[in-house]
Amino acid sequence: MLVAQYAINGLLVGAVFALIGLGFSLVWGILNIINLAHAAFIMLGAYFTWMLVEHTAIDPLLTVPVVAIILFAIGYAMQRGLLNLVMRAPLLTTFLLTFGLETLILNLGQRIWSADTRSVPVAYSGKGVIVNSGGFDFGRPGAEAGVVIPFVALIACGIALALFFATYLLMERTRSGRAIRAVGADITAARLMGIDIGHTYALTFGVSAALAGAAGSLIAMQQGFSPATFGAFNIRAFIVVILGGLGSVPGALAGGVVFGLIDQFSQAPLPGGGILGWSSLARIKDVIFFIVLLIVLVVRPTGLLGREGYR
Amino acid sequence: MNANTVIFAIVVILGLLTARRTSRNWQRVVPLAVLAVLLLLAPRLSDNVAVLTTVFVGALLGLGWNLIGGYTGYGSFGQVAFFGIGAYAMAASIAQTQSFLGLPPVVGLLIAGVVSGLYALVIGIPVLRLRGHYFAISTLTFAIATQQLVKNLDFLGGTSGISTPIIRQQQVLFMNLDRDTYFYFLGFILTAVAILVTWLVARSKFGYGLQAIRENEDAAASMGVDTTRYKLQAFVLAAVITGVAGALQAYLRSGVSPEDDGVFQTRFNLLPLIIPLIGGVGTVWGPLIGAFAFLGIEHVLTSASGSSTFVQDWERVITGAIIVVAVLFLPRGLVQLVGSRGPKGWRVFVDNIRATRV
Repeated sequence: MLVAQYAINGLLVGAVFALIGLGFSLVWGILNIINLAHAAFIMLGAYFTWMLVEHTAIDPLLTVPVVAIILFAIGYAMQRGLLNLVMRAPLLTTFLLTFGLETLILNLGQRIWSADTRSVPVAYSGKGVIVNSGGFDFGRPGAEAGVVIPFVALIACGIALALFFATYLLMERTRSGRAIRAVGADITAARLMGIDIGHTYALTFGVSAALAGAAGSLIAMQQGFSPATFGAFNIRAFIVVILGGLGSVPGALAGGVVFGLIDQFSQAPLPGGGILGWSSLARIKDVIFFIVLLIVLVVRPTGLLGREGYR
Repeated sequence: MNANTVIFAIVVILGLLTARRTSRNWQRVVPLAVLAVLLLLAPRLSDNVAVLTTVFVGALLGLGWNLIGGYTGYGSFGQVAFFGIGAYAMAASIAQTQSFLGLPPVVGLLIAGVVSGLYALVIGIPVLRLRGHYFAISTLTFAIATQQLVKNLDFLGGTSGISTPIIRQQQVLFMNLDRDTYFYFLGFILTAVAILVTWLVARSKFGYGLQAIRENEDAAASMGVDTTRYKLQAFVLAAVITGVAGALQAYLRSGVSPEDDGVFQTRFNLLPLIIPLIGGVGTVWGPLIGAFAFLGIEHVLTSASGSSTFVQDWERVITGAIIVVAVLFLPRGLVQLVGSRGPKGWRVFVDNIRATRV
């Protein structure tokens, strides 16, 4: 039963991680930028949801589209106003610039919203689908419960999957999506075809920021958070992308799920009462991720699916 | 305006004069000699010499990163790992409690350098196979992993860290130095050695090999540069300098803590990047100039606000803003202002933007 619970948690968490990875992967694949401000966008998403719920008392789920639109605007403006200025500079320059933006935004968040832990109240939190040997039931899990699928996590997973599908349609079926893919494939040819490069870059970055913002909203509904919570998300996004393969939409989903499973199964108790005094590997989770990252990068750099994405 | 502010400003100016390109050697040797004399007299001139000691920690961090990030072009975003490892090695060597060694500090500094270097060797072999973005973000991941590992190892003190004896005064040769002066000169000597090492590397075949790797790794390899070995040597050398900086920090602060305000704090991951960036990436004098310029700005902000809480509260916001502005307008650092080639005056900033926009 415990294994099934870890697996379900892993899948649910994985969908949100996949969403984070998708935005990160898009900017990396098309713009050749590692956007270290991605975590800052996730933080902004979480806090905008929190503020909207505090001030207007609307259902947190309704804040997701609002937050996505605000973050799109911020992302678009940031690329147009700042990042477009260094697009032809060496890798280190863009990396440092987004690193500076990340430092700036995360710490500004800390000054504005303080370091206190916040949470967004959700009416149906704590309830879920309870699956046990006698069928399934809805409600609040008791001590005897079997496998629990929490409603909030389930809805978050659903929204994440819907956004995945929307991004896929945007990239494959729309004129803007075609422009983005063209710029990613060959910037000179794209320019000759009359594509406005500055605008297309900004559009890509805006979409990525919107996805990060939506992910932030979904995270805010499920856990307590403070600005410091979000610093680790860049690395998680990176690992998701590496697991799934750069620039690939299905790859990001696969990477997110694998990441979620590792994340959850690391909490399983170790056999024999633990190693080095650790009862589970959750305490050294980041060490495990670093090792997984190295193995994948060295052994299979195209990701688990091994598919070429947008770039 | 206090004495330290003046010292910061003069060091930056003298550093820039030393770093500029001139046809005659004396035009650079004279400012360097004045700089050396000023720094030797600083404990007498300064109103708070402990502030200047922290600048040397920053300069060492910058000098370490500069070898791998500046000369070799492998921008490491995880130098804090080596800083922390060096600090822990030092603390474990000199601490007299529990099962620690209780060795003299000089031995501790050596051990810190060696342990950091070995750690870099082990990590560098897989990580240096990666390039560009992959390398950069792997080092970022590795820094976080290192902190988490150290925090969860009970023989290194777990979450409480290691405490070392507090130094009040120290007998050095025939002199009896007070605490602040002692640490100042320790920092001064270590920084001078690191600058000397950088200078020697920059002029050597090894240094040219590193710069060839930065400009084009495949071309360098095809010209006979043993890129794998050179990269690893640069990474290890950078880690040794960074580890010694960490050791100095541990010695200065009488111990180490693995928490987010300890030796693994974000500040020590930012300083190695921002200091060469402000001074001049891939130059001998850039890190020293950058350390005095950036930490000088912090010092002025602290003095002006009348209390240190202002800078503590806003420090990282300001750091972030400085990185953004520096990357946009002066990506090659302050030394670009004294370069003999290229545009002069305000044109420098405009041209830097023009060169890279879409």
